[in-house]
Amino acid sequence: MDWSDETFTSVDPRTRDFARSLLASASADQPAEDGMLRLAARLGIPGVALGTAVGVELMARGAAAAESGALGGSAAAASGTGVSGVMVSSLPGASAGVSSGAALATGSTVVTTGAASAFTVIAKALSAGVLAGALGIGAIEGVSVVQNRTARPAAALDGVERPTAELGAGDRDRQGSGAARAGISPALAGRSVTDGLRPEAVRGETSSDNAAPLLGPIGQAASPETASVGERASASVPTGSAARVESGTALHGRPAALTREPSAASEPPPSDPSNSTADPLMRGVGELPSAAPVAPVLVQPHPDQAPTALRQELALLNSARSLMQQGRGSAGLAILDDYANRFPGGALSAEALALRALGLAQLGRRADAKLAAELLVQRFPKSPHRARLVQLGLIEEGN
Amino acid sequence: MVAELLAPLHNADEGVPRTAQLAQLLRDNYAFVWRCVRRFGVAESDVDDIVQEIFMLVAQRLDRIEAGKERSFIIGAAIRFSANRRRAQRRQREHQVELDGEAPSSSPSAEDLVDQKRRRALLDAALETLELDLRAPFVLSEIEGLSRSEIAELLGLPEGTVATRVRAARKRFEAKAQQLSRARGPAAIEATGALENAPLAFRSEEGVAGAGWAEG
Repeated sequence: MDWSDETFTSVDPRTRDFARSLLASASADQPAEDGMLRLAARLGIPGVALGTAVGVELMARGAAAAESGALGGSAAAASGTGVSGVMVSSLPGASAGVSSGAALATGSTVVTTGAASAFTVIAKALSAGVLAGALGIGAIEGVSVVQNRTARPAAALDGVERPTAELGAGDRDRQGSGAARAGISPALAGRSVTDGLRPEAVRGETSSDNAAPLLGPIGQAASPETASVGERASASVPTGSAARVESGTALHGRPAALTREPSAASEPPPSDPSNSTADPLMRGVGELPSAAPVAPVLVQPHPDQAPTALRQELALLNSARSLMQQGRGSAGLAILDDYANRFPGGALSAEALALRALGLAQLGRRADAKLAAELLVQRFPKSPHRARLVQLGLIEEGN
Repeated sequence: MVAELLAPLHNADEGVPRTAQLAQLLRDNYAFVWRCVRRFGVAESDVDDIVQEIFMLVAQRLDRIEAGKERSFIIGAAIRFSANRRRAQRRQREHQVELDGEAPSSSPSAEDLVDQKRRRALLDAALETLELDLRAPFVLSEIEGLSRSEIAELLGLPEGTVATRVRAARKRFEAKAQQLSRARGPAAIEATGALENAPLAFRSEEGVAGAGWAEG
C-alpha cells in the first residue's frame, strides 16, 4: 500500500480514519482454520496438513516413480513441502519396516528398500516429523528419494553389524553408481544427495557411535507391534525390477534399522529363498518369485490396505496435532481415541501415543499423560519420542 | 502388485506433479482468495462454496494455466464467480425484501461500531458502492496490500488503469464511509477514535484495527 497516500485526503481526517478503520476491520475476516484442509480433501489432495501429509504422499509417489525411473520430478515436487533432511532410497524388490520412520524425527538419512515400503517409511517419517514439531524434538530438514538400481552385494540392511565407516563409504560408492541420482539432487533444498549420505551430514552423529542409535528403530521393529505394520511390498514388486536388484540396501544414519533382520555387509545375497523364510518376518520376501535378492521384510497383515490406511492414519494424527496446537486438546484427544479404535496396532501407534501424552499434559492431566507415556515406553521401548517425553517429565529417566 | 498397492497414489504419470502443484496453489492462495471473495461481496455463508468452485476449476485447468499465472487465474475466477454469486444473492435479497417488507441491511448502532463484525458490515456496505471492476483492485490494494504492479499483473490490466480504478474506488468508498458515519452521527466516528483510549484489554481484543491506521 505504498501508494495509499494518493487519496483519502479530500475529506476530513476523522472520516478518513473511519474509512481506514473499516478497511482494517477486514483483517479479522479469515477463513476457518480447517477450511483449507476440508477443501483439500474435497479436491482429492491427500493428507490433512498440506505441508506435511501431502509431502508424505508425494514422497511415496516419488518412491513409486523411482521404480519407473521418473524420480526427479516428484522428488522435486515434494521438496516444496517444507520437510527436509530425510533420505530414502528406494530399492525395488525389497521392503522395510516402518519403525525406522519414527527415528527420522531426529533428522537423518534413511535408505530403505521397496517402492511401497517407502510410502510407509516416509509416512512414518513425516508423521514423526510432524510430531517432532509438536513435541519440539526438531524438524525434519530435507527429504529426498534415492533409487538404487545398481547391483551390489547385499549390504547390511540394518547397518548394525556393519562398521559405520564402511556404511558411509558404501553409500558414497553406491551413490556414484546410482543412475537415479542426477535427477534427485535438485529436489533437495540446498543439499546434495551426496551430502545427505555422508556420515558427517547426519546431524549430531559421528561414525563411531552410529551403531547404538541404530538399535532404537530395530528394537521397535522387532516388537510384535510393529512387525504388523511393515509392508509386504516386496511380494508385489514386479519381477522385472526386482530381478535387477541383486542386493539389499544399506542405510546410514540414526534411523538406520529398517528391518530387524541383519544381513552382514559381506554376505552375498541370499540365493535360497528359504534363507529368508527362516525368520517368520521374512515370509513376505520368501514368497516372492524373485525373492532371492531382496532384503528382509516385515509382514503387513493387510497389504492391500496399506497406502489408504496409512493415509487415514496420518490424516487423523495430523488433525489431532493441529487441534492440539490450536489449544483444542480435548478435540485432539478425541481424534486420537478415534485413531486408536480404527487402527489398533496401526503404523503410527507410537506417534499417536506420544501425541496423546503431549495432549494430556497440555490439558494439565499429568497423571494421564504419564500413563500414556508409560504405555508408549512399554510398547515401543526404543521410540525416539521417548526423549522428548522424558524432557517433559512424563517419563522418569532410566525408566 | 506394487503397482496395485500404489495405484491410488499415482493414477497417472502426471498425477504426482499435478497433485503437488495443486496442493501448493491451495497452500499459497487459499486464505488470500477466501478473503478476496468475501470482500468482493459474497455472503459469508457462500464463500467456502465459491472458493471450492475456484479451486475445482483450477484443478480442471491446471495443465492449461500458464506457469506463473496461477494466481492471476485464481483471482480472475474469483471475480467471475463472485459476480455470479452476487447476482444470485441480489435476486434472493430482493425476494426477501418483498417477503419481509424490510431490507435486511445492517443498521449498527454507535456502540456496535466497536464490534468488528459490525464494522465489517459497514465495510461491506461501503464496498457495495463499487462495481467489481473497481472493487477488485480496491480490495487487492487497500485490504490485501498488494502493489499497483502486482495488481496489474493479477488482473491483466495496465498499471495506469489499476491506479485510476483504485483512485476512483477510494473516492467512492470514502464518500460512502462519510455518509455512513454521518448516518450514525458523530458518535460513530468517536467510537472508532475511542479505540485508542480504550482499556488495554479491550484494545488487544480489537486487534490492530485502529492502530495501524492511526500511524498511517
